Amino acid sequence: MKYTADELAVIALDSILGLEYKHKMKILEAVKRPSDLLNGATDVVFDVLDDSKARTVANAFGKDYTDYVVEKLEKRATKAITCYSEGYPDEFENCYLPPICVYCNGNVNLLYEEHKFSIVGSRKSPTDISAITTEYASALAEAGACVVTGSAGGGDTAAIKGALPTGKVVSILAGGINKVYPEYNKRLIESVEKDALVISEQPPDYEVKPWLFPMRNRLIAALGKGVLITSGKYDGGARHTAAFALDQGKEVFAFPYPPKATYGQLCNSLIKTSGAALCDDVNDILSFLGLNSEKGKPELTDETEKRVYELIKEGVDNADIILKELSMKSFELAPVLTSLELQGYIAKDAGNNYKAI
Amino acid sequence: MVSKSKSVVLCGLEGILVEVEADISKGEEKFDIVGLPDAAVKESKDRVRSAIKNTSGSFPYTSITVNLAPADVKKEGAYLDLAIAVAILKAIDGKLVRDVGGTVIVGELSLEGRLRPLAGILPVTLFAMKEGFKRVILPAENAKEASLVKGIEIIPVETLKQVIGYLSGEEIEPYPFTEYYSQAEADYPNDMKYVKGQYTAKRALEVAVSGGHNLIMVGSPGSGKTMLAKCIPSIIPDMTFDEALETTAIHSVYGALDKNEGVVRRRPFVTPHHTATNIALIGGGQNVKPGLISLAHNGVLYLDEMPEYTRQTLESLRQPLEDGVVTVSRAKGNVRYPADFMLVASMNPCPCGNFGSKTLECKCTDSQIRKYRAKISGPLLDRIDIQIHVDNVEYDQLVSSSEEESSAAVRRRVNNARKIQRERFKDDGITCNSQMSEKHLLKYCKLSKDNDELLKKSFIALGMSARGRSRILKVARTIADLDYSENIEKKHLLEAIGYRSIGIENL
Repeated sequence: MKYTADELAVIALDSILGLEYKHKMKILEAVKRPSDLLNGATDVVFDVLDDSKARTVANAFGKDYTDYVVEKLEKRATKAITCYSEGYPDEFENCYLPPICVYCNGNVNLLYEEHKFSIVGSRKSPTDISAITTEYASALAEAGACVVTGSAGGGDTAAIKGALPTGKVVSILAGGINKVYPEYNKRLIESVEKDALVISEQPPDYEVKPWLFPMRNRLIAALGKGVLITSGKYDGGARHTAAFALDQGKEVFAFPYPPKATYGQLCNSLIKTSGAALCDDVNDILSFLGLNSEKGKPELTDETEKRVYELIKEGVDNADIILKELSMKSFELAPVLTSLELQGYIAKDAGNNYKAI
Repeated sequence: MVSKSKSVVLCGLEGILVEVEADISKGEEKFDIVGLPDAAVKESKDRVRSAIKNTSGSFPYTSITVNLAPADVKKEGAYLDLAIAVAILKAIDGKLVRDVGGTVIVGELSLEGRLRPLAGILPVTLFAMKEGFKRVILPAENAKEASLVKGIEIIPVETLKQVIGYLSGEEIEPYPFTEYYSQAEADYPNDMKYVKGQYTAKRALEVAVSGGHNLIMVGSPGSGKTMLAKCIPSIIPDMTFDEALETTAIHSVYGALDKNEGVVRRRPFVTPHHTATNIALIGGGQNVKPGLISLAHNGVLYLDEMPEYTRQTLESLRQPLEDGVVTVSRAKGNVRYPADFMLVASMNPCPCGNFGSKTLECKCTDSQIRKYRAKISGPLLDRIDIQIHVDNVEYDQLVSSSEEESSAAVRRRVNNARKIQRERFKDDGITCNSQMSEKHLLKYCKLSKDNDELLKKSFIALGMSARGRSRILKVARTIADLDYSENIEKKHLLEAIGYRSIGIENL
């Protein structure tokens, strides 16, 4: 990977630990061209930063530092796109606090997909909501959209699982590009690196810190044309994503929830007060993106399956209650439920509850 | 002069034939036992001396040496008291002429000469029968237990005096052979008919019990997991004679056998507390005793709140679950105990118990929930064929007076399904579907092309692991048996797929 001198300088600057975003921006504003830093023109740094920080920067731009940084990137086949690069995505240019440098592992072309759409949800999404999220993500990806999400369990994982088979997913990490959080998703994120794209704003080895998550969420909101909030509590992290998206005038979609559903608080309040679009059909998002769903479910042919599906659609969700309503025996109903699930008509919720998709 | 008698000691469930030789010679008064006796056997010297003195009025003031052959095997327990007494009595009293060469003599003596019952009489008698002995002399209280064994005469005795009489030619009526019958008690405190609703869980229980499949129930506190589990004894199939013999032998060695009953007629239902140590569960200790899992042989081992057990305890169950036997190795030697049990476990969905509840809020973080569920490892979960959720029952359902199906009706179906399985596996050395190996799966669980396609599709659609395949096939086979169906049909397969993973990965 060849970098221009400007790019090299920005990458090196970005990798200096102990500098905050605002410090780096001050330096970049002060210098004429970033490449000047490489040529030893570091005096200007002392004008804009206090002495100790400026000395750190001056020392860092010693002889081998840029080589070291680039070598470290190349070891993991990480590609860096700086705000001075040609391929810097427009979405980031227009976002609040544009990232100085974006580190990418995987298929970088996904960054320039036309129909990017963000999906986020709580780590503790109800299982049926996760199933629906997976279904939506796979429908979007198959219709040609690229799904943008985070890296946590629950909603993010569900979205990744749906879109990964098509290879159209961008997962944005909060910490350094090689610091996957949470630990249990390491393998999943590795497969995203292989088949799709993982990006991060932080240089490699940068430890995950709590305040990085809202920062990351601004990128998720920025990259997508719109964002779908699948679940979340009032104080959940997804509220940041929604707020950033609304600030930037992007369309926010949210799943509707019944009153008092703990993991639907955020979604309902977004619909009620923030003008989020109620989303109960993947076509809502597809038509917003101007795409067509090609995937249709197989027609139900079995009479019993039809009756059970109708009941579940009406909201009779518990297996035992369905048994009573249709006066069936458990061994008659069990195959029907599994069959409906396999055909993608219903999803299993917690316990023996089912939900129509 | 030297006289002999024969007895048996136990090592685990295996019998060891012991020849007791007593030699009496003139000289300084002494009483020695040689031949690797353990503490209980050494003490038998004092019991034998007092018992003989209190029965026949005197004990010879001579030099007595008792040898226990073979000399290289450690002899444990009080089995040998009576045989030692008989050998000594025959040596000192020429009138005791009855030949005891074909007789095994076991029994513990009290000081006044009465016989006390022993643990492990059934394996001793079985061993004696297999070794070709004609009769066993044993404490009367153990006679019922021993009388299960066909082809050997049981001579019950209560006192040493009776034994002396017998040796001098008097007859003792042998204990009659007891015909085994399995006992299906009419009324259980926990009957299926008292469990309202929970049709899905009840059906899963029926399938699990029919095929001997391991089962795990996940549900919030108060959803009725424990109540359902307690109903299992009321629907488990009757025990066959061979199974009863195996189980009784273990209970006998463990000392848990009801003396009046003499045999275990119902499949055991063992519920260890989660603080139980590894050794208590698996077996071991000073005398390499069987553990609770062996006590549950041919029955049910119920682990309530499974994640509360230590990781080590749970992992040590993996090998017995796979092999149906557990080999306990100690410095003293290796002992194999059968441990073919059906594992039933229950757990909450998360530490606070409210995850997935519609009305209550779960206060756990996702990493707490993961940690809680990860206590049950993947390999262990792979050995649990049926994994189900148990819902909270609505109040209306709880108080409804509608009649639920009784355990007796369920048990009839279960027994029929078991009969089909025994018939099918009669040449395979297994008895139920859960024991099938890959070889048996190929032979008995053939799928039509369409169904094979369906199974393949479901793996992809539901994100199951490849290891789940044989699990699903086994359960499908049982469901087909309950339906009296020769082949596994689509509906059977679909139902079996429904009893799949409890979704740790779906969080």
